[in-house]
Amino acid sequence: MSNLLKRNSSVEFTLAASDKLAVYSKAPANIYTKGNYPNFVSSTTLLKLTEADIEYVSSAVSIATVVVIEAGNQDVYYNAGTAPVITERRGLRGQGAPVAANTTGAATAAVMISGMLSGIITTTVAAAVTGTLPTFTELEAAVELAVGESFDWAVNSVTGANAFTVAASTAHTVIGTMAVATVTSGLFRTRKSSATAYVTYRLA
Amino acid sequence: MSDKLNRNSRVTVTIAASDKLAIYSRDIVKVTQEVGYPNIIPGETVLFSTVAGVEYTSDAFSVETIVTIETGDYSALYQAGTGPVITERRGIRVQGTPGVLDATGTLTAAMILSGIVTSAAATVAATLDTGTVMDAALEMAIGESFDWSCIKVGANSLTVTAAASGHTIVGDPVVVTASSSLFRTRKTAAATYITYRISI
Repeated sequence: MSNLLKRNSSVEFTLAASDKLAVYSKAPANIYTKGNYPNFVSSTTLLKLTEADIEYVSSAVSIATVVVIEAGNQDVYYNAGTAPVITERRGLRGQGAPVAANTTGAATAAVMISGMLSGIITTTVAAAVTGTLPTFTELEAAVELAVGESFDWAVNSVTGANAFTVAASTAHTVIGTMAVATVTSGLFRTRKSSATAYVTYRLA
Repeated sequence: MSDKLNRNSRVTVTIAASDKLAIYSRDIVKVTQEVGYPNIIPGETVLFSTVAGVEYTSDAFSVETIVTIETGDYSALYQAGTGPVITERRGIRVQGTPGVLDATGTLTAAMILSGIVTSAAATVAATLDTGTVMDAALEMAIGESFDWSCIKVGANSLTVTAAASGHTIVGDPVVVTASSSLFRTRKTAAATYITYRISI
């Protein structure tokens, strides 16, 4: 996750030795280095005027360096480190350990919720597995989604000879082909469609 | 959507009774609780400090509680509620009503920007909007992209077709019956887009 600097504002921080600085904005942003010398008023030197819409990554600084970023008319994302990138521009997301649902009995509402929110459900379908989606009420208790928000998750069928089928539940409907064939993966999107309902779509 | 708190700053929020508090930051975040007793100046008690890079969810608060969140050298995301999660770390995105294209016609920028396009019964030739029309429909920089899915729920297939100008397709453009496919639309130059098939 990058840091966010609001438009028309500035931030000052210390870049550690050997670190680089990545900056992105839809408007040019000024990057200064700040120097402090005995008996002199501290001063800044323009390091880079970034281009709008172009992600800038500095060279590594040789010593700890105080930098100042000034945003223009658009917010600025920035990140520091040995290999900084603006993660928000790469669709990065958290991904903890996937959750296994290897039998219909194991695919409880709690397991399905945990797996969906983790991002990946794995399955070894020695026998056909039905993964029943959590009901609207169950999902509401687990995640604070606004109407019109959604999240994606996948079913990864790793071995076995059967299908994993995602099934609808109370106030949680499905659209698309919901059977994930063995040794394939299916991508789904769960969307809060109203104050009382969710819809899960098969995306791929 | 979670709330965002900038680095080296603080915010005071009221957590309702029975609510939990979820926090994520790449640095340590300190959460303190305001406490007050009669005839004593109000003070703060440290409730907990989070671990850098680890999403933390508190237990439910038994009563309405005023807490202060203080960030370190990185911004923090936080959310309160009965089931709070840091939605930004789970790829939460806006998903309005999907676009619908049930007959041969234009697969408009609005349809694919919705994120999902559904298509029923007929055989459909879905012609992408031209690069010029795409430029007018959204503010994308060169090198930016977005993903969208097509769900063919009825019989027959849907074929994504290049526009007359400025919008080509790379990969198998056919979404067969009773299947879903994922595409990525990328701006490569002014008024020029390429849509890639990225998954079946």
